[in-house]
Amino acid sequence: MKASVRKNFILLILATLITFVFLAPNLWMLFGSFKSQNAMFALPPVWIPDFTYIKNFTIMLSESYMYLINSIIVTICSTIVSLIFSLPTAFGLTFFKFKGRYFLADWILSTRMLPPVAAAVPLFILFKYLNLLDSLFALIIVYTAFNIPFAVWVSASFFKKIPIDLIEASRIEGASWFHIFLKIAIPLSKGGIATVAIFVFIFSWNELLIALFFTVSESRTFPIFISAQVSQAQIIWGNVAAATVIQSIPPILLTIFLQKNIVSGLTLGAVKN
Amino acid sequence: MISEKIQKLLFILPTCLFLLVISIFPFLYSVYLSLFQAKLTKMHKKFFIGWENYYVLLFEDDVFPTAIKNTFVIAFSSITIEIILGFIMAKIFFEIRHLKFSNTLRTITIMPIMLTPLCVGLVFLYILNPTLGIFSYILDTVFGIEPFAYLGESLPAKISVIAINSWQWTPFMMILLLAGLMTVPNEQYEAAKIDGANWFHVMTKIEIPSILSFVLLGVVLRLIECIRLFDIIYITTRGGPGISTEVMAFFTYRTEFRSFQVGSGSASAVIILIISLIVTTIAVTLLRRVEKNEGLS
Amino acid sequence: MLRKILLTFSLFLLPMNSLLAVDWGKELGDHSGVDLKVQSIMDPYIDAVKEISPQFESATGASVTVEGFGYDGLHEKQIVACSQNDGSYDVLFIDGIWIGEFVEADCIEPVEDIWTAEGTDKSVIAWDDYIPSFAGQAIWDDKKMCLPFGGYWHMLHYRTDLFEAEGLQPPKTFDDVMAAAKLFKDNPKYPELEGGYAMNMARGSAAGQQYYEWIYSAGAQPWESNYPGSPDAYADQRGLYNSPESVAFIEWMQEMVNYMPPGVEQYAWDERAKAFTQGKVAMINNWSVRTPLFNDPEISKVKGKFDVALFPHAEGAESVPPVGGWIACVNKHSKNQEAAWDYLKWFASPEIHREWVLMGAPPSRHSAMNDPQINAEQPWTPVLYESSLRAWQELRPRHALTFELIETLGIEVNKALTGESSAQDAMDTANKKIDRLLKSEGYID
Repeated sequence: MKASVRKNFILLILATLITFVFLAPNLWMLFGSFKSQNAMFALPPVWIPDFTYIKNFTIMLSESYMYLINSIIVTICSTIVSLIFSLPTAFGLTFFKFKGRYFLADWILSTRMLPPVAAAVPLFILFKYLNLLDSLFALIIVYTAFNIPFAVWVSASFFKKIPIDLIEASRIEGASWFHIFLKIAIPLSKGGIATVAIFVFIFSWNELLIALFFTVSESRTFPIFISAQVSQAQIIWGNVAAATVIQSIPPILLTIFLQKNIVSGLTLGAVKN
Repeated sequence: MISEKIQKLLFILPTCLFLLVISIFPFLYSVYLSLFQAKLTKMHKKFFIGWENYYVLLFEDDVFPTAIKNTFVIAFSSITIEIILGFIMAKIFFEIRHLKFSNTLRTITIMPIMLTPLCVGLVFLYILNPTLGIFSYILDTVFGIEPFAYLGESLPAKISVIAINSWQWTPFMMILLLAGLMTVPNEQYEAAKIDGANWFHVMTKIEIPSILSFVLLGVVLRLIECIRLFDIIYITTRGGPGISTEVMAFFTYRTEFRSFQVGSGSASAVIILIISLIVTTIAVTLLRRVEKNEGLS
Repeated sequence: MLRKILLTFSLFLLPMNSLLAVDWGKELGDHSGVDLKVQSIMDPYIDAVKEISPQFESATGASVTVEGFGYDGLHEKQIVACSQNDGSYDVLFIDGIWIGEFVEADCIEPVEDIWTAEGTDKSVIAWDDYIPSFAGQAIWDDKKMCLPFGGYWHMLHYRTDLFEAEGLQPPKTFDDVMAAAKLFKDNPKYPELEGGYAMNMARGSAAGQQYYEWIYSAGAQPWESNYPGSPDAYADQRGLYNSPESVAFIEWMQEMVNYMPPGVEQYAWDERAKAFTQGKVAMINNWSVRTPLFNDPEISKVKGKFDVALFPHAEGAESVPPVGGWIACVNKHSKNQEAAWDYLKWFASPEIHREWVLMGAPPSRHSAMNDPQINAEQPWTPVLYESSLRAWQELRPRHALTFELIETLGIEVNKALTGESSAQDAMDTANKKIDRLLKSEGYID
């Protein structure tokens, strides 16, 4: 018995060390965000900053709050629109028996895997003709398109858990597919849908490449603002650290909510809990 | 009441149309554009040159072939590291799964996965500052190693990119393999114990075979991510020094949006597309098979 | 007292037309309600632009927003936006060498057309007051496209305290530079130094620009018809990047790397300046725009401990100080072109230019270079003035392929400097790629 206690103790220490490896870099940046530029790069390092020093945040936010707002708008809208498109499709692919449904599902999935960089210029030209360059609308459309395949597959994996008898019983009672979708499938998959929504939210929130192509001034997102700070002029590290911290908050918080379903989501529903 | 058929169409058709316009059209248009000499800032003056862009990219220039090579070197090294470390970590967390704190520790460990890649790049750019960064300081004071430009010399830069990439994604492999380990039936462990099998035997004969499909899934999904690797490169090395960390996605971005050579850039996009399609076909087949078996669980 | 007399006296010596106060009330229109947006590089002068713009606001009723970007980001954003007929920004501050590309993309409303149509007073523009090596950067297709305002020239910056301690003269030739750099590198007497010298060696624009900055003073030339004083620099653009002189220069840089701080292969403008202000190197070559910062105690540890000298040259070659800098253009797609033009002619005028320079910005006109107050506040001005008169305006190509060409070159130069390839191989590749690039657009046959 004693041996196993010791073993557990050693393993727990190891696990803590591992956790530290994956936590420390972020923590260092978080500490950095409360330091002046000089303290950020002081040698020997300033280990614990003065957490009342919030100048970096106030300066950075006063310069960039509009980009933060853009990011929030784009992220929320594309999450909602993605769900509006994907949930019915996922439902259909799960419950409608029609020829070619596997093929269709595979086709949808494969669009998820194509690299966005290959679509950027054609979309740029398309939006130019539609006069939608540098608009939040264009970003929402593109993020939605890139998120739909993911949302369809993962939602489908949750819909599959609904007992098929339940669906068939309603069909026999004469309920329309719309009714079944809204009144049975959605309420029964609430948890799953939340998972999908969180993932889509984070994907949109994190996106950089497409925004680099499509935004000029008005519609710049927060990641674009951050990356602009690091171009070859002068890096104002206080700003960068504060912005990085703010940009990281939603993914970190949401990961806590995802916990249970994170494997399932990251593997497009292939791994069940 | 709307007919059954129309109802069903309404469920599925909008998504398909949407994807056709936003996802399929662009890929086809890229193929078209790749046959032209075209500059984004004067599109009306583009002219047809056939396969020239492909020829130059693949046979005349050394940058794009290097970018392909680098992409795969980075992908394979990162994924290998992720699998080995991920497995070790999964084992540790598997063993302590019943203990207090293990959940909290695991949650903190997996946070990098969802972190904005841009931020991951920035965090390491800050840490790896050659003269004033914390990494140099620790290396110098603890190990007495002279600081050098981790991102400024060819091999170190490549290693740094691989390390940053692995840092972000090892936790993914860990939870994936952890899920795999959970599927090993307890009886097998018991049986092994009775047979007096050592840990190596348990690992090679029981654990690895049962998590193999999880590993395969992880490899394929990570490969797809690695082909698009962009953000970290964009922030930390910008493909340098020289072309030692040039990767396909960054090269394409650079050609299309800094030099505005969208003809040549589209050609490189199409080549990435073809490579992706191959990996994607494998991935989709795999996922479909898994899905038909009601998931890995 | 003597100083005051001298000052008063020298005021009379200045070209009168440039200092006659302009009646701005008459010259500028009423632009109430216009929100004028200016897109600029985030160079040190930007604070002065923000500081001086309220004067224009109160004179015209317009409000002025100045937005700053990094070098590569600025180029990308500006050219993409305006080539797609975007008018989000009314005034574009562009690097002089981008002019060909911007004209090709149809981004610029030529200022010469505007002032001809308007019949603007010549003394407001005062074109002849611009230093020719810089003014030339705003001319393309024989037309004055934009108004020059922020001219930069390269000077050698060196630490007087260190040079005095070693009894050294400021370096004049490449050999002097290398000898001094070697002396200071890893010298136990100066433990705070990390290297003797620092250059821009980062891949891409930084290293590519660096090549052009040095190549003429190295006694070489980048392409057939480009040499200081060439009557038509673009007549024959076949590359000479792999000429023996050019390769020898790269080899010289490769040796110089040994006397530079660790990590110099990643240095761009900011890192180079920072190495100097943090007292980590004894010498740098640098654009004049940052020189005032080196005297700012908030960011510099070398205030009062440095001086400037003419750009060094190889034995048997002449010093050709690099010229560069920023010109202000009216966005062709702007909806506020009148306000934009008013802002331009006001901002670039000798009077406002002088005020702007006194806020810490770089002098770019003869009148500013000769101004006693500017000379007093920026004591390096005489060397700067001499540099500006020796500079060669076609230092770097200015046609539509410039950005791509410099980046291509910068990758190869960086490869040579990091030891990824030999100087000869790198420059052979560079020459081949640049020739192919120029051929693809018909610049050479």
